Amino acid sequence: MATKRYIKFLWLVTLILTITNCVEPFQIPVSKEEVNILVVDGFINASDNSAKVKLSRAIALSKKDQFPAELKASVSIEEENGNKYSLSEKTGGNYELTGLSLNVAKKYRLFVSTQSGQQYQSDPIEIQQSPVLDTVAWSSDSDGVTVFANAHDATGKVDYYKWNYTETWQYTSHYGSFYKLVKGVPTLRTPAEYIYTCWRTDPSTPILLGSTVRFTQNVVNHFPLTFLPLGTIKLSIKYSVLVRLRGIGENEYLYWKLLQKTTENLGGLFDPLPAQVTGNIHNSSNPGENVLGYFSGGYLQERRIYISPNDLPENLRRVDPTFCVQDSIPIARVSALGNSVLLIGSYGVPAILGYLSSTPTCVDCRLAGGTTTKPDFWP
Amino acid sequence: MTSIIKTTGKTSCLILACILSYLPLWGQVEDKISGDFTALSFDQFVKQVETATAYRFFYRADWTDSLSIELHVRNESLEKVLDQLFAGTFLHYKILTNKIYITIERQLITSLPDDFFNQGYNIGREAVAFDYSEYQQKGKQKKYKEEKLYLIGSRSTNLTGTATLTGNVTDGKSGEAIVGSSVFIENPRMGVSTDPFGHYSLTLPKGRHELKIQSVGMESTQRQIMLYADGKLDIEVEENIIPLKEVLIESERDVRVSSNQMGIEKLDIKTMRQMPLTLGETDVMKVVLTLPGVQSVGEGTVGLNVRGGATNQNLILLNDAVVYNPSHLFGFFSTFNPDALKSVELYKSGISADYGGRLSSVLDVNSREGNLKKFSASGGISPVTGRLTLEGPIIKDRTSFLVGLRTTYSDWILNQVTYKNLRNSQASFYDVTFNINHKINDKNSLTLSGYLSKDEFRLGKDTTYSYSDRNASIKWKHVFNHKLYGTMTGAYSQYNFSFHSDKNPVNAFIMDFSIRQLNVKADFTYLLNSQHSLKTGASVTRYQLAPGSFQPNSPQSLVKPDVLQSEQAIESAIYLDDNFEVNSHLSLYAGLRYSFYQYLGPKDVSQYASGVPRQQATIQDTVHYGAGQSIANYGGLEPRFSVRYLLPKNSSVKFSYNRMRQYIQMLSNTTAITPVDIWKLSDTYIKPQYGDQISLGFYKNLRGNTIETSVEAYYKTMQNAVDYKNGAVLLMNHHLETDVLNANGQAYGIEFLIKKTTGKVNGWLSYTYSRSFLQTKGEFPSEAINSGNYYPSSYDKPHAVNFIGNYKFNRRFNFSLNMVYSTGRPITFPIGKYTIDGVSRVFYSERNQFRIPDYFRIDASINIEGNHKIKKLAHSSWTFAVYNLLGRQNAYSVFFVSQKDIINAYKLSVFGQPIPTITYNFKF
Repeated sequence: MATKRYIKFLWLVTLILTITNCVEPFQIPVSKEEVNILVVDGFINASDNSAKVKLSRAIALSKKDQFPAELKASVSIEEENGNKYSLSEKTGGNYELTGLSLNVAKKYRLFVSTQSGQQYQSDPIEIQQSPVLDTVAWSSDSDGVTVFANAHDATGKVDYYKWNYTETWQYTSHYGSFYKLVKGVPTLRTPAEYIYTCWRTDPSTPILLGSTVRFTQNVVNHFPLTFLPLGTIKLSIKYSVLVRLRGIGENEYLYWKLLQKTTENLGGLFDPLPAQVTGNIHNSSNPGENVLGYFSGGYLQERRIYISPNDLPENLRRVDPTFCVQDSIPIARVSALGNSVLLIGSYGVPAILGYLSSTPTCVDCRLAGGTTTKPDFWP
Repeated sequence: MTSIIKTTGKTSCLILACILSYLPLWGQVEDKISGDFTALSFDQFVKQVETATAYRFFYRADWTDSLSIELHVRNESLEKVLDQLFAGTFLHYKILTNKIYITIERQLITSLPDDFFNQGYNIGREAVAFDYSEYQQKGKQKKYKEEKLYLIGSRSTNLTGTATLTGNVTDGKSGEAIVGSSVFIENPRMGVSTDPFGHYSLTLPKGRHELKIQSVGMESTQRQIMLYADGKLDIEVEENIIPLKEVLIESERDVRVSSNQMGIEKLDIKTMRQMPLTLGETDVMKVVLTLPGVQSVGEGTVGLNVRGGATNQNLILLNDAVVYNPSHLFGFFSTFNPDALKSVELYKSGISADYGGRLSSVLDVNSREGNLKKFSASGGISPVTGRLTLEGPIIKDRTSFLVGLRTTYSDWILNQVTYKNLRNSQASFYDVTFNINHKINDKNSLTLSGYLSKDEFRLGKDTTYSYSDRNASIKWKHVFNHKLYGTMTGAYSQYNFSFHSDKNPVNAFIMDFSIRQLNVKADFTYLLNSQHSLKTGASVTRYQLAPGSFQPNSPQSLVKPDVLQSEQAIESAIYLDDNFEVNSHLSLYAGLRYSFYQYLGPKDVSQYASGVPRQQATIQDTVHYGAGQSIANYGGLEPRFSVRYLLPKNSSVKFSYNRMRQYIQMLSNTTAITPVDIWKLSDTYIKPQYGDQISLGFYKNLRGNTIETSVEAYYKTMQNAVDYKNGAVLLMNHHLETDVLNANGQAYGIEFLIKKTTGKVNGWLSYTYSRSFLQTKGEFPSEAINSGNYYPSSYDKPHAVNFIGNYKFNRRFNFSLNMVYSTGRPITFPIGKYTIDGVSRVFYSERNQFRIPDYFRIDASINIEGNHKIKKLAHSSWTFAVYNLLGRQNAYSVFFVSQKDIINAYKLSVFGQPIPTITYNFKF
């Protein structure tokens, strides 16, 4: 059997497709270049007549810092031959405006004037019509579950679709903790202090784009959004995904497509040449300056679905095991433990002889990225 | 007295021997011989001897006419004289009293076995040493031919002026023409190379010459000629008796120094066979990559970058038909079946005027002709492919065929693999090469070649890709007279690719692309005199492109059919060149080619607003051109020039200049060329490329031409190379001119090569320093790449070292080592990061400002030949090779992927571990 495997391995090696085995992390070279580029992420939401612009700065790749927010800028939106609306600054470089009275037939332009006195403006944009998000559903095969969506546009005006989603899932740690240590004294946790059940919420990372330009009808059929592999913890108790869709214009489509090509779909033999991707915002006095990000406007369509293990076919109702062991701590040593030690429960009946403990990741569900607060929408 | 024995053949000789053996033995005449015999024929010698002595000779004139007698003897016995005379020939003599019988191959036995009359005693007679062995026979035959004096033209006493010697050089075993064989004399130094038909034509001063013939992979030989007038001499050369004497790049020896050409690498299939294999197969393209001045963007790609040129600037010809995609299986194999190949020539500079159409190089691949004498088969089995070649005569010595097949069983292997992503993958390919040669008569010959390759692959469950090259060519050669011959060639090439997806019936589509080209050309070679050899010719090529069609591929499919308008063009060229041997040191080559190109309707051409970058939004009008109507015309002169000056001590300097024009380009904005890269004809907006190259070289051979050294430096410029706007979309683009930019390029470099051609240890070592830059200013500032400054091209690898060595333990074991080092290729790295839409993204530097890590690889292989019995059913050999012996994970690319708020860098290596392969080759 071992020989046979070896032969198979040899075949594999001999074959071209060794590629898959040969991707390994690489140390990013340190660039001496100073990077301080304005990033504008702006959107006029016609669904609720609001506008949001986030201003930040790009930093050198080698830096570990947070992305610096662009503060104290003056940001405004101007209707073509019309009104100018100022956005008010919130925290962290966010600028917002609500109660816009939009005229969807008009074009809009974004103006940014930074604290350092630089003037930026966007190309005029149209408020894009939205397609109809018909259904969000899932299908399964032996490898896992694919979440997909169907959408269409009856007006025939929408050719490009941009999707994103937010996933939320409920999960538990391997062991529940009924005690916490308070100055060396095991104290029963109140239900609010339980760290067994968590909900984690993640935004989508990939850029998801669809196009119906090459189709006879403006229909997006079975657009795959995300894949949940067999054994994922996401499907251990309950999983939910909120899918958002909006129609975008051709230029915006090309912008996101290029960003996708140069930051996501890499690592093959036939990679495109990476390129500098800049959007529709320019420095008013220096057109050569790079400005990142995109300013757009449109309607948002949303839909949420839930998936429980009970909905799945039997062969998919499996969660990858976590490796956790319990450790017993005799009662005499408990008082010497710090508050960070997590206790599962006690042992010894009727008198407590000691407590059981495990590694924090096996006990505290929050360490897997979630919170113990149940989201409002959760059923 | 001269008499002729009127019998022929061995049997009659034996009968004669029997009769003679009954003759009584007379005492021999003991005449001594003295005299100076200079430049005598055997007849004349006999006459003199017969006059001076009592001896009488009996022989056949045609056995001895090759002997030229140069003897100075003082009082020698005739036996000694004859021993000296016949040494190394087939001739034997027997002296019976005063009669001398001359026999061929066997000696007369003039006595009975000692106990002929006492047979019961059974005492054996000492056997006469007959040389039955084929090798000894061959050796003697060769010597015979080499020493025989061939009289060319009718005998005359007028030996002033020159005469032209023509003929064919063929393989004595298979009858196949030997291409590129050098036929030359050394004093004065004059020579030519045989053309693709093995034909040569050489004008020499009348008189006696030693004609030398050297060709790759064949034994060097010579012929003694007496040139009286124009005449013909066909030369058969013997294969270097492989496996017994296989050497790396035998011969072409002093050719490197003495030939007019520079920047040319000739490889024969035997050389290539010795190199360590990548995937169990000898691969033309991989071998070419080990030559100085040739680079690729990474392993596993077939795109060649010759002296800083782009991959689409190479003219790849298989038997005169253009091959558009020479790769199988994503580029891991080249499409040339090694068993069906004869030779490969790569022209990096000094490209002669008969070639045109591409900027950087010409890779001329020729397939073998079938064996004219007997049927044979050869083939091989490696872990991924199997191949079989059949060949043989259709009409013996006149018509032969060769068919080579190659296919893969990788589909089967993929099914064995348990790795998930591969399980549903498929990859298959095959190729067929065929060749028919027909010798109509001495003056006419015809070659018909065909080639078909097809690839199909699917990764995962989704899209299936397929592509195919189809070529056919017919070549007719006619010899008008000793000085003039011509060839007519017709060639057809077709390349198409398609990909389709059926996974989701609603989205099912199929996309097709195809290009066809039909080429007719005529070439004439005229040997004006011993100094001038002229070549002229004309060619016409018609291109027909179907640049793209996108169609639904299922009844439910909502895909909107979209077909791009077809493109057509005609490219014509005429040329004239002259090889001028000024004197024994200086030789010049001058050629002029004029090419003319017409982009033709029917087609709709968009007109753009002037003063703004071309975009779909700036289209103002569309002009319709009718069928055959000229849309855009381009043309120009392409001068070619080279000079060689022979220096003392086996060395020379050469200089060359050439200009090339290219009217069709491949568009690819990926790093490596892919099977779905489209070709585009030059049109109103996409201008033809042209380039100039000058190069200078110094060549010196050491140690009796066994060590060759050379230094070549070059500088070249390219105009109108293709570059792309960021994010250019090339497939199914109705307005390619809005995404394509014209770039200028410049490249320079210096190549050092030292090569040992013979001996137990042989091989070569080369070092190249080269740079290659592109500059894209664009018509508008927004179109400029890297602010319009020169930037390194993706294949700019300044330092490259190649070592290839062979060590022959003995005649059956051969060990080869291959080492490759090069600077990592330029790459665009991110310099910054930012967040948008809640996800971190990277921001790239200007194009190609960084480099991936350097590349280093060692391969090794051992060749084991079967036993050396001559007569056995099949000759076979085993090759054990390890590619990337050190298992070094050479970077193919470095890429960055945004994952949530982290940006990860990864290095991709194609062959990250040692890859062992075993190949079994056979021939019978």
